[in-house]
Amino acid sequence: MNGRRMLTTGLRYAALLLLAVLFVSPILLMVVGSLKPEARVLVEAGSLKAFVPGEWDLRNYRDVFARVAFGRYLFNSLFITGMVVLAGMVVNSLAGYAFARLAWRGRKVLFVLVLAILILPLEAIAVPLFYQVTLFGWRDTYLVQIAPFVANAFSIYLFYTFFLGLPRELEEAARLDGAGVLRTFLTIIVPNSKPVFATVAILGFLMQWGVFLWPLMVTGGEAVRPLPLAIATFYTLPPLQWGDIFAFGVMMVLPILLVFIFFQRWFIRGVVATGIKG
Amino acid sequence: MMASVTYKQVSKRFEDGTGALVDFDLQVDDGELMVLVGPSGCGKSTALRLLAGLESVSAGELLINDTVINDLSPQQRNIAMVFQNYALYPHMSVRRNLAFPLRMMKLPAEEVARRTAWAAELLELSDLLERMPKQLSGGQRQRVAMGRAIVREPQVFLMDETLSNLDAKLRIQIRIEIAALQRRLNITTLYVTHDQVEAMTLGDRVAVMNAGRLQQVAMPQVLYERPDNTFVAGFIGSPGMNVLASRLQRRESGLAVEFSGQWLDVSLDSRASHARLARYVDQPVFIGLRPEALELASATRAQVELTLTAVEALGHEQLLYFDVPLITGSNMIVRVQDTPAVTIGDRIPLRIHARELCFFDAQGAAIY
Repeated sequence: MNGRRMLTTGLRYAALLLLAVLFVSPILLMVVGSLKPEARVLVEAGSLKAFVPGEWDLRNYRDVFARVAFGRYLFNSLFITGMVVLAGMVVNSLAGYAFARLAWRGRKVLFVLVLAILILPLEAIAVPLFYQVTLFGWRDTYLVQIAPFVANAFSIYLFYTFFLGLPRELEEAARLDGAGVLRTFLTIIVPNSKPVFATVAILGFLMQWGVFLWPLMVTGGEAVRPLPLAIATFYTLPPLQWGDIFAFGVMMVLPILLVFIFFQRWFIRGVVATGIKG
Repeated sequence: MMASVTYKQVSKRFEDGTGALVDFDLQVDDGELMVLVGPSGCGKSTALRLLAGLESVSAGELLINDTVINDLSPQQRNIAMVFQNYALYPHMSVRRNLAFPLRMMKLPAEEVARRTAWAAELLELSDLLERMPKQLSGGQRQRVAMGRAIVREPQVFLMDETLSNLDAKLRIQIRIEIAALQRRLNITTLYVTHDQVEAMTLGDRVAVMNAGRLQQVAMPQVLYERPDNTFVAGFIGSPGMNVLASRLQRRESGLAVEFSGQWLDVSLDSRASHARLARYVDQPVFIGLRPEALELASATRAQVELTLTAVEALGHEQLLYFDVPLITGSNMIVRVQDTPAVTIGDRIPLRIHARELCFFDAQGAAIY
């Protein structure tokens, strides 16, 4: 390797390193800060010492549980997100399959509508939706945070494109072997669609885990509120203790990480499997 | 289980208006192996898919025995099919692939096990039962696909381009296995292929199709010797029949036919009757000659001299190309067994077996 090549390679790595530091440092700051005594968090905040862990101290985590009903919020978030993702996989995969493979009147028109919904942000329909759920008497429930988000245009589209790519002969073989539409879907299509289910689960979890506006509109007390609202409240809860807030943040990010790691395995396996001929 | 299959004036028109099958009539007898053959897009696969119930019939009637099955679902028809890409369920072992149709029939577990074992034994899959499809070779996948089709003892067995994903050697081996299996089980079978060699070797009878229409259905030897039209003549055989434009003339000695500028006497034991041929005198006709209907001759015995344009040596035979244009646009081919001392560009003396001449009218229909 000549000197010039080495220099460009070195510069490239330096640039990448800088970018990595930029992205990782807030997370690192949060994790390290969450493990420091409150007194040191503020003192070291202005210097690079903020990134240097001191003695491991879990007091901030204990504080979070002592000061708010963190367990309750965590359960709420897990339950709501879990239900949206699980029910979503059922509903959206069936819808995607119907659009991709079944012949029925109005399919094309309806599919265009689904695609149109893709570009519609929640904020655009939040107010009419709010009136609707109020009319139903759904406010301050889990249901109001789950039901509107189960059917998801983006998930339907992901399933749709994936199912289109599956060999049609698999389904035809199953039909001839005596399986009906639903059984074909359950016994042949679903087991061969792990990659798209994993993708939809990861994306769905990410989208749902951070929702803020909707639960703020439709929920009141802590009984059914999810973590994003709780951390906002916690932030304004005196005394302002950064170590506690960091600890809260770490515990809030952890489930996303776990879900991602869990499904990523499937995701990669799926990609590998489909890469092999036959 | 007796099962004959009848296509009665069956047509299939797709949503975009393309007609895949037009007024298709075909009768497949019980236990018969019928091969549908034709170039791609000729409608042979559509004919199969209509029978399987994977496509709906636009017009006409499909019957199994005397029952119209147009409106029955695929499940109700009791038809099994082997797909070109085998369509094995990738997430199931060989055993579960074989058992799948039986489980759909809701048979008791011991019956499922018995029949799975029977099919595995028959197709020499017993040692592979726990393997997954991706762990199998092409030939093994092929056999699993057949096993899955026969395991529920269907009324009718369909095979769609089943051998085309296999290499040449394996194709011949499995072709023989399929023929043997079909004879043994005596299941009415429709077999689709674009390969006329496969069609000729496998079929009890062969249905030749082109552009959505049935051209001729007959036993292989009949197709070869008495094609109904120029399409069948050119399609069947490897290489196919040489078909070229010609004319008929009345001579004192009888009829004469033009061949490359020469007039040849039409022998009395020609395949076409003289009485019928006489009607085409002074009209344009097509003549057909199998590549083996010409032979190299000494200059004295020769009837024509043609210019050699290419030679293909196949080992056991040679194909000689001559500068006589066929209606297909390619050149005339003569098949010879021995290796002649010839050079490209030579004028080669040839004799024609005049009684093996086939005649076709201007529309391409055979004159017999």
